[in-house]
Amino acid sequence: MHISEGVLSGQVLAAGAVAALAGTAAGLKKLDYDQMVHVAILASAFFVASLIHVNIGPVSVHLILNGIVGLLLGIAAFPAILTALVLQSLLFQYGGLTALGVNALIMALPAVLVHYLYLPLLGKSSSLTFAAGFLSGVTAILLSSIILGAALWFTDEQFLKTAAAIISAHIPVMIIEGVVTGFCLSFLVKVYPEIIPGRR
Amino acid sequence: MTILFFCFAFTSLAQAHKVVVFAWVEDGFIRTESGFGSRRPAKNCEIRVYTRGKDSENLLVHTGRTNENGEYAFKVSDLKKSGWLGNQIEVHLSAGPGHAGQWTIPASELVKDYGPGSSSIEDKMARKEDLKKDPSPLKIGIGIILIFILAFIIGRIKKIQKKPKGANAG
Repeated sequence: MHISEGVLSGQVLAAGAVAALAGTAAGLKKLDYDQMVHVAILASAFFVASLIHVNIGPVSVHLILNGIVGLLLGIAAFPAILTALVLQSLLFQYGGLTALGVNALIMALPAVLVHYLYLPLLGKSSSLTFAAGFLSGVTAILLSSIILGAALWFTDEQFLKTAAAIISAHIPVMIIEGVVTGFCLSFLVKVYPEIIPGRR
Repeated sequence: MTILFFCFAFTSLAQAHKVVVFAWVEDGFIRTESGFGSRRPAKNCEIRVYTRGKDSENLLVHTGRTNENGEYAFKVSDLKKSGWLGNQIEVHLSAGPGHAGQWTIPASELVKDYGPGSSSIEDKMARKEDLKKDPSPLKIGIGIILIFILAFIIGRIKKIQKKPKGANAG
């Protein structure tokens, strides 16, 4: 889902950069000293997730994990994801440097939204925890696909056709992310409940 | 079943991250190889070749599509027919929504004719293989360490900001 260099128009890149900076500033302001280890762990997980490939028939896709990052960090997902994206761009050449703002917005904004949508379900029972994780993973990828389609639309592509193609392409990714996020959260609630917001 | 088919049909659009296009001159041909890192070739993707025109405008001089192996080749002489002025060219790959790559071939390479087996071609093949490699464990380790260092620095700043005023007095 990383947008490459030279794809988006200057205006879209600038708007994405401004929005990502605003989100990052808000995230940094809200960050607490006690959260920093969790932020670092989740940012590292996001950083490495792109390297995990899942073969689906003739093609292979990679994990993103913005759902779990957002569910556990809230607005702090912005600085965590932006940092991981900068390092992915510099070290792995994943996504363009000029498109960092837009890439951060595509991945972090849905992450923040799933925090507010599904956090209340977390920890109430094992099935609700799994459901919260599954829905976070699916919703985060779905919203990311829509924002990606919107970014391409503003750059002069047919939105409905492009968005439909992108969302269709990511349906298997949504399901895989949902399952992985569900299992990860179920595991974390049992072994490391302090990582759940509100339980520190 | 139909829904599953359409999901898989479009899943190649979710192949994200590193789009690599590599181009070189060999035996009078400009050869390109494109892919998603070391994973999959970029099949049936559009190749566009640009150069600078007389008024420094971006001039499209050639288009084509990659084959099943992500390869595309065309003759250097084809460029001349489209108004190429002998300067450098940029090979652009369009690999789906949001995914593109480009490679620049300098003018000096376009005027020389590298035959197969020349040391220059071997250097280029080595460079191409380098580009296709997956990230090394060292780079992954460096990235994770940098994340923790940054988190430590921000954590220290937050801790200092949190100290009540006058805590350091006396």
